[in-house]
Amino acid sequence: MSWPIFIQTLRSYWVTITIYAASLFGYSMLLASMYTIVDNLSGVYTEMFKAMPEGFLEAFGASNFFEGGLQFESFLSMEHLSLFWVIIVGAFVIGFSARVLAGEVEQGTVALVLSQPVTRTKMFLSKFFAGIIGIVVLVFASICGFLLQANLLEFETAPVEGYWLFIFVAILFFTGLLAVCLMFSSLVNERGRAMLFGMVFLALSYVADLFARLQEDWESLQYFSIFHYYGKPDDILTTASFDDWSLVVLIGIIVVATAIGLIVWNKRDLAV
Amino acid sequence: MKVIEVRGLTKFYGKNRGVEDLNFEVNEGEIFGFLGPNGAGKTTAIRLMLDFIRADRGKIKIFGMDSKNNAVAIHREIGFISGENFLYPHMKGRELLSWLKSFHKHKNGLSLSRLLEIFKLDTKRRIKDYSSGNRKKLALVQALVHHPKLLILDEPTNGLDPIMKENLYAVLKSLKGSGTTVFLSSHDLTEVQKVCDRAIIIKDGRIVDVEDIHELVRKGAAIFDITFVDKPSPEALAGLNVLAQSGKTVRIQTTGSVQDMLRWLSQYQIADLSVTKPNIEDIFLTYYK
Repeated sequence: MSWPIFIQTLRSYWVTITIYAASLFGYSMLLASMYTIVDNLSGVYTEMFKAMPEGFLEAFGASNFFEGGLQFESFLSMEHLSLFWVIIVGAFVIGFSARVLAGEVEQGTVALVLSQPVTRTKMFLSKFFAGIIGIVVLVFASICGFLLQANLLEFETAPVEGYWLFIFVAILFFTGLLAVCLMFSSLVNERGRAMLFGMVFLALSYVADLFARLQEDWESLQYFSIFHYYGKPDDILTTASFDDWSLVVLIGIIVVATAIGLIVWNKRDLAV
Repeated sequence: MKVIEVRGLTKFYGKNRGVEDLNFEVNEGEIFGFLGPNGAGKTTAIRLMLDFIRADRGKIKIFGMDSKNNAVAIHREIGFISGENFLYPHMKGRELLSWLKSFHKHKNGLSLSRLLEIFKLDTKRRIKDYSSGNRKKLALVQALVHHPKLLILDEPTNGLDPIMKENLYAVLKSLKGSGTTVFLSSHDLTEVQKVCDRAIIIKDGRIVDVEDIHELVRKGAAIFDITFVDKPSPEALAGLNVLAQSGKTVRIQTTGSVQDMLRWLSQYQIADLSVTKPNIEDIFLTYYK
């Protein structure tokens, strides 16, 4: 890794990361404070959810809704962590990865960087690690927002081990997304195209996972979706356990996508 | 010692030609001009030398090392200015300079304050607020500050005012004096004549000529503006390098001995005659006719 590139990437992204982190922290606190309201209405929700297909509830992270009333973690999973949070942090990851490789080629600044004594591999990995730092900050900001508000309002939460495990899984999941998006970004010369590929990948992954949950015939589709390996946030939070196979696949996605991205980045012409 | 050695360098972008079978050498301590119109392949050749793009065929050696396999070691000793002033617009000038200097921590560079003084550059502003001339100055300072052994400059004076151009020429000559080699791509042929020792002329991706600048000027020995008493026949002018003709007046550029031209002229009755030395631009144009 090249420290100058790593530091410079973080410096140029610190405003974006700070805005994202502050927004996620604030939104997490706001959302957590709504738990009491939703909990008071759990009777109504229970009746409503009973009428819905199980796959549908699973897709939106509400499958554990009935088990022992509405737990704080089930509420977070249903309202935020299963989809909206993934979209928000995913948007950061897609935007970041598109800008740091394809964006540098499009802007021409890649020539300035690569005319310095630094390899293409180091440039790629420095951007990759800077992206991970961004992800770590956003994940921590979100979880800290939930826990702080839960603490202030004296909600009962699951043991902290579940939260640590979820942080780890979320970082791994978004790092997988980062690796895939950097792979796309290494392929193209325009930031817009790299973003488009990232968004299509995320959308198709989500649709594949959703269809697999809703239609038994399409169940095997879930294995092609990165969302499948993200698992159910409320399960991870409440049971502090995560499927080993999903862990292996997420690590595999990171390794394979990063390797492909690196090979492409090293082999191709980097000038427009 | 050869600082740059290019052998059989060929690059195509799909079916479009970038450069084809380039062969040239640049010696240590010389200022080497790289001349050609837009689309001739100058930037492609520079990108290949810096390993931004990969050649289809051929080899480039810089400081005796393969430009692809030893890019890091080579870039440690290179200063580069892109023709397009690609800099990070959100950074301040001094941030950019200090960041780029951090890649060359082990080296004792030139005095930054001296360079800023020469180019009269304010580095406290963001690059997006710089004029194009100031961006060019910043690009020059960043290329020079780590005191490279080889400077690769792609159109370095575009956007600079005449005083700054003269300052740059002075810096280049002083760097040459300290052993730095300069590879200068430029459209400004007068500039090349002023600062370069040798030059390549490139056309349609191929080298037309590699010459000592003085030899290049000598080759175009003279331009004769001749007014004949009787209009010369086309047969009489056949084989001569006629630049222009208007009635009895003909402009001819000689590329060989002036003596031969005078011998030829003695066959005709001449009403008026003037002889001028061509500048490098006139010579350059003869390659592109």
